[in-house]
Amino acid sequence: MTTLQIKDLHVSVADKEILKGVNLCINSDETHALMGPNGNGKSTLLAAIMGNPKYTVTKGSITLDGKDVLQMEVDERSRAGLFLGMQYPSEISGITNSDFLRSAINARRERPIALFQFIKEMEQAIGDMEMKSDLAHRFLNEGFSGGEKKRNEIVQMKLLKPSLAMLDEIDSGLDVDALKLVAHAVQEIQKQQHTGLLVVSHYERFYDLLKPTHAHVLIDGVIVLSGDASLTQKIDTQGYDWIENELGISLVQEQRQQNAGVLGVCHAAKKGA
Amino acid sequence: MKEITAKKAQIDITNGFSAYCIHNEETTELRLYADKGTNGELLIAYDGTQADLHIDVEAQADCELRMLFWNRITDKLSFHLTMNEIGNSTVHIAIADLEECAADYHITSTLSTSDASVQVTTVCMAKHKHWLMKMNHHHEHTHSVMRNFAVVDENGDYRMEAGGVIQKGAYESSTHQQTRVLTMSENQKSEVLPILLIDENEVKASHATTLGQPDADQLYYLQSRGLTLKQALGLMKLGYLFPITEIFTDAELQKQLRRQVEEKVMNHD
Repeated sequence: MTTLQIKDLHVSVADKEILKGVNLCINSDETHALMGPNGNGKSTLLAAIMGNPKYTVTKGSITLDGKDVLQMEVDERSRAGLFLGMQYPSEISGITNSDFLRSAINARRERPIALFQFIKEMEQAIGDMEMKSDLAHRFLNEGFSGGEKKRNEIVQMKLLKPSLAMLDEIDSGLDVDALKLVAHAVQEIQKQQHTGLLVVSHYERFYDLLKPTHAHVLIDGVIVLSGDASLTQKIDTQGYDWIENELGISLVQEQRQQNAGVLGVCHAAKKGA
Repeated sequence: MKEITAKKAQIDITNGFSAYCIHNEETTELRLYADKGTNGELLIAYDGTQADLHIDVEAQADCELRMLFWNRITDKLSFHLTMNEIGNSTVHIAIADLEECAADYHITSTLSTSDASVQVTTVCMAKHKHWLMKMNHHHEHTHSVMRNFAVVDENGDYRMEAGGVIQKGAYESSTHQQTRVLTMSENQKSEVLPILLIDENEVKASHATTLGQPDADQLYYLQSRGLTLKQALGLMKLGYLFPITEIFTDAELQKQLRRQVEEKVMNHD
């Protein structure tokens, strides 16, 4: 049983406070949907948990099974069982997927994985994600389409077997079939590893496939509302205005709100446009 | 691996793979000759504390040659490679220098036959590595590619001057070059000078250079998958050095080269 416990988390970027006291608890086998208008701190929360050096935790605590995550380096957090499927995975020329993944697997083992076993596991994961077999030999994310990058994140998740995984808009850039494939793969990993999940998405379709056990709305750096999967459905149909009205809070408008409005990403952004 | 100790020697390149090692701390003049239609792969290593190598490559028509020059000199190396007699052949040259020694490289090719093609790939870990490379296109339909990769450590000194010269009349020729330098410290000196001198209209020419320290986002990404900072940096270095392993077509040889590069990087760290 794994538990990620976040208490009164405050996080700043370049001296601007983004998270203003987040409380959240995620256990094994749970799936938490994290929603909220753009620019309110969802990605910041995930990055801060993973230890992105651009984000500074100014107050609060994060523990994983009682261990102080904030005292860990990024790589230690990964080896402790945390995984972040990134919205914009880095492209790294010269390093093949195969070299990278083998190094990542070996980093969490006392003895290096046998080559044959590694190849078998990697080919299985690549096949499961319906990616081209040359993926192993391609440079890490270089020249990948948006959908390929996201599926490659899941390939990594399958091989690294995290106890707690965070997915940051992993569904963006995926077509309908790929969305189902990714959702199914994530569910399979969860079933096998009892992984706890924290999933950021703007789309009910993805949550509908993942079947969250919990749902939260993050506005202006604070979780203002929590509930079950019905909360994601309500936001999908009604947007965020009702939260503003019911709770008497103001939505933070992302600076790129005009673009968001044009794309129809969320009701709140449209309103500000 | 056959040994070369003479001051003057010639290797007749044959089909298939062959390997030689030069042991001579004085000046060595080496002629590499490929007869018409040769499809050969050649590894030449050089041992010792210092060396002054003058290597001349000559290829007759219809050759496909792949050559790797692997430095094992520990103190001082002067390396001169000329390719002035290349028929309508393709010559792939790879030069690896992962040693601490001070090295000066001079590589020139004059392409005077239609469909002659020279591709040079260099990789080095630099303490003092200075490269001067020039591809002269004297004839139409001649082609050159220069790919250079370097990892420059603390107190390193790397200089790459790579020139592609297409002369009048060498139409439908091409010269392309890219240099990628990974600097591991602010206390180093790296300089890349790409030069293109074009005196003909119907040609293709390009250059690309990247020079800088490891990208913070890339390091974060690698570390987020469990690699320590040292492992992540090591992997990034390998990414700059592994292109040398593609020189030979045989998968087993490629694997061996990868292992050698990995060992060098790990021991270096």
